Amino acid sequence: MLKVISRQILVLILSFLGITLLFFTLTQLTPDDSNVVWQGHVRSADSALAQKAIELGVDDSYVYQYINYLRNILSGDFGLSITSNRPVLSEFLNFIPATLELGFFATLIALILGIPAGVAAATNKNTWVDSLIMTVTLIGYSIPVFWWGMLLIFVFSLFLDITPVAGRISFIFDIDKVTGFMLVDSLLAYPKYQLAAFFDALKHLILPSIVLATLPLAVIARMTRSAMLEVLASEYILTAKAKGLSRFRIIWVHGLRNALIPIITVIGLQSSILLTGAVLTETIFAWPGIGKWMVEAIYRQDYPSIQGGILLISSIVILINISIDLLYAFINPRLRKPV
Amino acid sequence: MLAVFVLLSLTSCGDDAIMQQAMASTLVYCSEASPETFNPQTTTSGSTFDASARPLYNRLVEFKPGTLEVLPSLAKTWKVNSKGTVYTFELRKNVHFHTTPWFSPTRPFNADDVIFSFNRQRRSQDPFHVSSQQDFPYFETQGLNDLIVDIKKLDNYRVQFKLSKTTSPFLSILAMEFASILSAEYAEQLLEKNAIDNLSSKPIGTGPFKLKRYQPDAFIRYEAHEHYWKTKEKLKHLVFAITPDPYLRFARLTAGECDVMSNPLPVHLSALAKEDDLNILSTPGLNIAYWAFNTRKPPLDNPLVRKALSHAVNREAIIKAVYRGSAEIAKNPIPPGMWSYNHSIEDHEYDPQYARNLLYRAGYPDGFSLDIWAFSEQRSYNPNSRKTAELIQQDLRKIGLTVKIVNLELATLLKKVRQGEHKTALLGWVADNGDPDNFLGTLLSCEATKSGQNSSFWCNEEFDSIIKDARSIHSKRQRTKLYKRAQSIFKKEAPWMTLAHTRQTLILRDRVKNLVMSPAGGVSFSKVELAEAKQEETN
Repeated sequence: MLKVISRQILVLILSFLGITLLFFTLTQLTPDDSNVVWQGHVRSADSALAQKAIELGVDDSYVYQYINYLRNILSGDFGLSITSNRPVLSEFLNFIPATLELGFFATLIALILGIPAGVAAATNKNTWVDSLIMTVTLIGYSIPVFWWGMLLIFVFSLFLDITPVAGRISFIFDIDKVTGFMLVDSLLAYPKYQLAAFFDALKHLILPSIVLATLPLAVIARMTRSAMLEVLASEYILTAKAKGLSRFRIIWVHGLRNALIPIITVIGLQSSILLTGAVLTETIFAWPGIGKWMVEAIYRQDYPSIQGGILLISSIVILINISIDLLYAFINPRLRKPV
Repeated sequence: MLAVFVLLSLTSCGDDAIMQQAMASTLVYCSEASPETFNPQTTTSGSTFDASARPLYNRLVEFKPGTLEVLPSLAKTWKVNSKGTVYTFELRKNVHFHTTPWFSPTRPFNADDVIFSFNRQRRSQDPFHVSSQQDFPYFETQGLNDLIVDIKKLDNYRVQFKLSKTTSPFLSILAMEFASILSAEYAEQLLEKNAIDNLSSKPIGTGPFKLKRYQPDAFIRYEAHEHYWKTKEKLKHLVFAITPDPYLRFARLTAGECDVMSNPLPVHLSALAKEDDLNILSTPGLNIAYWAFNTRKPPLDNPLVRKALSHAVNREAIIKAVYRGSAEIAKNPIPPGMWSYNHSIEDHEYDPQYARNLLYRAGYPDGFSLDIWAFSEQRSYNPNSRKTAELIQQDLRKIGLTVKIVNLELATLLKKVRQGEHKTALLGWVADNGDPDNFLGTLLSCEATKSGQNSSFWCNEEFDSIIKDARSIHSKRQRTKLYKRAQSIFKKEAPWMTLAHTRQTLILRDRVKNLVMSPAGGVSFSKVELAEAKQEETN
């Protein structure tokens, strides 16, 4: 086990060095003067620029600059956002809870609906149930997120009027920002609004989490189906059947449990899909998370935010995948001994 | 999934009373952009002024809501010396700055705040100017650096401005957003703490609302200022829901998530017929789109020809096709919202037959050839200059003229126009303040032919002496008389074909009362009320 952990940590360090080197090189290749990129725009006083250049070590060698850059990042210094003039890291921490909240609910929906759907398709292989589920997931797999989000807003918010159009909570509520997670913060506002704010926040989560969940849901359902099919064809299931175990036990206990191992890997891979999907979903629903923050930063050519933001997002994806790998090793004893 | 919806609507029923209460005291405005800053001194953007200057601050003098008449505000009265170069303002007493978690004022507003607010922008050696690390763009473009020679504190409640020359629009300039009054006491505290940047993120003003919370790209939340010097606002909470996408903005409005929506698209206005609880509020903007004739180039030196061109163009069709109804036909060089607008002027009606007659009388029975310069970008006063040119081209063909359209980038076009290379060009102008001189003097005086800002190079002695006289006197009644005369000379001489004034439009819900738009641009929620809700059916 120790070996597995140390190997994963090595992977972590190498991937981190890889992406930082990539970003650093990309910055160097930007056609603008790189100190302009860092500062975002040239201010009238050239001396200020020169001063900044010295601080950033622009005139030093490539390797030295890279080490300097690494040192800054490791001490949490990702520079200042050009638009807000605040540290990029604190901006990121400001926006991430909204995305995590949304991502959590999307994952929940994808798992709760995706796994049973996959199991149902596998156990009813080649029947109308199977084809229906496979068709629906194929549509979910290929549907353009933008169009899908707009369609849901149109039907549920404008036509049926049961969900809000956009945002995290109605503007009539004045919620103190404590944790950054709206469901928690709205509950903390209980004395003022009782449960009204909480339910309002919950309502605001419905459409965006459905939209964000669509793609991972389709992937998980299809993956579950094929993993289940493989497991159900294996000999120990045949044995179980011969022993006269109930169909329920065979499918949900013996079958699904073994099929879960490849599924968990897929769920880990969904974290990057969720984060990229968040960019579109948050833009459609005016959801103030990191996805929308990144899009705005690009519009404003806020280079420090873009660079810092992407680096932080990639680090999160790497971290999630490595923890999934560790979890996986935990569940599946065969993997603890590296071959 | 359906079960979730049902569950949610059931559980939230009991909280209706709370929702209604919150709703009845909160106005939500779906705005188009995040403000760059909350300090109106350092910006020129209209969205930023909406979020800063109007709710948070006052100025020495202000425009009367819905008009451009200058009224006393933080200055109770003022005196001007006979030459019009020294202004002495008597300041209002007992005006309180906002008390917020980041600042508690120890004294009411006084002369120090005025001096601070102007010197910060004016004097490059002022410690607050240096520390700002920012530019003060409006102050500079208004030429106030040269105009204001000195600002003196006579006593705690009297301030004197010395000007280098007579400038009757000076009061209008002081009513502009960049001239908002900030707290000197707050600035000193910030300077001590080396946190002067907070002036733009944690604002303190004397205005009707104070800032409560701001999340960039999401919302701005204001609260009524409890010690406001005018009558306290009826509105307790004001929220700007920042929604740059116009379609989402409209969806939020129709779903009842906001009460007022900024900058609707023409499609939204036509969709409104179906919604009976939404209203359109629209005022003519302070702008003009015009077609300038270079009067130095024959045959355009002949007023008959210029008039013929004006009569030959069907401007109503242009308003429909290019502006899609969001503009009105212009007949004067200044917009109708501006004082001294001459309503009695008779417009050049669309009449191709009459246009032919005029050409005949001018000695061009067989017509001539002409080119129109148009620009490729979209501008607030003209959303599609090329299409405008095409429509004009068709109309002129009917009276026998051959017209060539030249498309240029606006910057290039303006440069060449200033050098007088054009025959005719489609241009426009947006006001800086409410003074007619900002249009008539800047665009049509003889002096402006030197810089080429007068794009017709039209120099009429009579018109010019009227403009000069009007600039040097202070009586508004006399100035109005003069400007009205100037407009009738303009119409007779027709150096431009006045095309359109574009409208500024808001859509608002029924319950919003007393919202007036400023013709100078922008929205202010001061004095707005929310009608007692008929909210039963929402939810």
